[in-house]
Amino acid sequence: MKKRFSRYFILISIFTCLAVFIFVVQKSYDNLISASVDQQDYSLIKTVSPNLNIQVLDEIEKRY
Amino acid sequence: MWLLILKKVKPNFSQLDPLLVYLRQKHEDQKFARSLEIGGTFLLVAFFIFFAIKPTFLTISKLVGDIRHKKNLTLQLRKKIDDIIAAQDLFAQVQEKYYLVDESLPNHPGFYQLNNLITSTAAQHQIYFDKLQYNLSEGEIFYKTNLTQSTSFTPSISFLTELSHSRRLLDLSGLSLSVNEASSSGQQLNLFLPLSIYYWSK
Repeated sequence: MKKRFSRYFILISIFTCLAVFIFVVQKSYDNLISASVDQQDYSLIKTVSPNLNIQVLDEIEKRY
Repeated sequence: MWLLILKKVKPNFSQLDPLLVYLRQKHEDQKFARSLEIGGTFLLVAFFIFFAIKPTFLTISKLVGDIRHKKNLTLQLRKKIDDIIAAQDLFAQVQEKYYLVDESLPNHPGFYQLNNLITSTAAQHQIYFDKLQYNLSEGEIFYKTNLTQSTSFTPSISFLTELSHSRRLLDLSGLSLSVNEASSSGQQLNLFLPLSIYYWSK
């Protein structure tokens, strides 16, 4: 009886330790990633193209 | 020979039994205590991870994430600022040609300029419009006019060609040429030209 109890106790404690460790790692990774996910919705960082279509001005200039 | 001797000499274990049982019991107790120790250690480690390491790791990962986020943001904003500066430089270069944009798409309807454009172009090809009427609708970015006149084929085509080469942004939605039966020579055509004229509506 004691033998069986000790075996289960060790197993349960190992799995508990493992579960807590995985939980902490997963939570930390989630914290690390969530910052960059929020960043994608940030409206200020939408790019602006510096290329102006100035060919159309030449086209207009050719006209009279 | 030796086997026979060993079989004959059987030791009496009855006196040793309680001692053996006691020793076995003792050994099992020790084993149980050791396993309890190991299990307890693991549980203690789990407890330590949950209450001590978890908050530290969460704080560290959050800070690292924030730093990375700020770095990315700084890089992207710097690129955006560079792009805006480049666009400003480019705009300064083309600013002297801005009058072309204003001539093509003025920020007001510009009836007077359009009137001049149509009448002077038409006059070059001996086409004279009796009346020009513009229909300006609220909320639209263009207004409409219909050019109708009796003229010959060649001048009307020349007028149309010249008008299509003007700087003003015009949309010619259709063209109708029909024989004017009332004319004496029979070479006169009725020209019907519906135009949409665009402007920069605010």
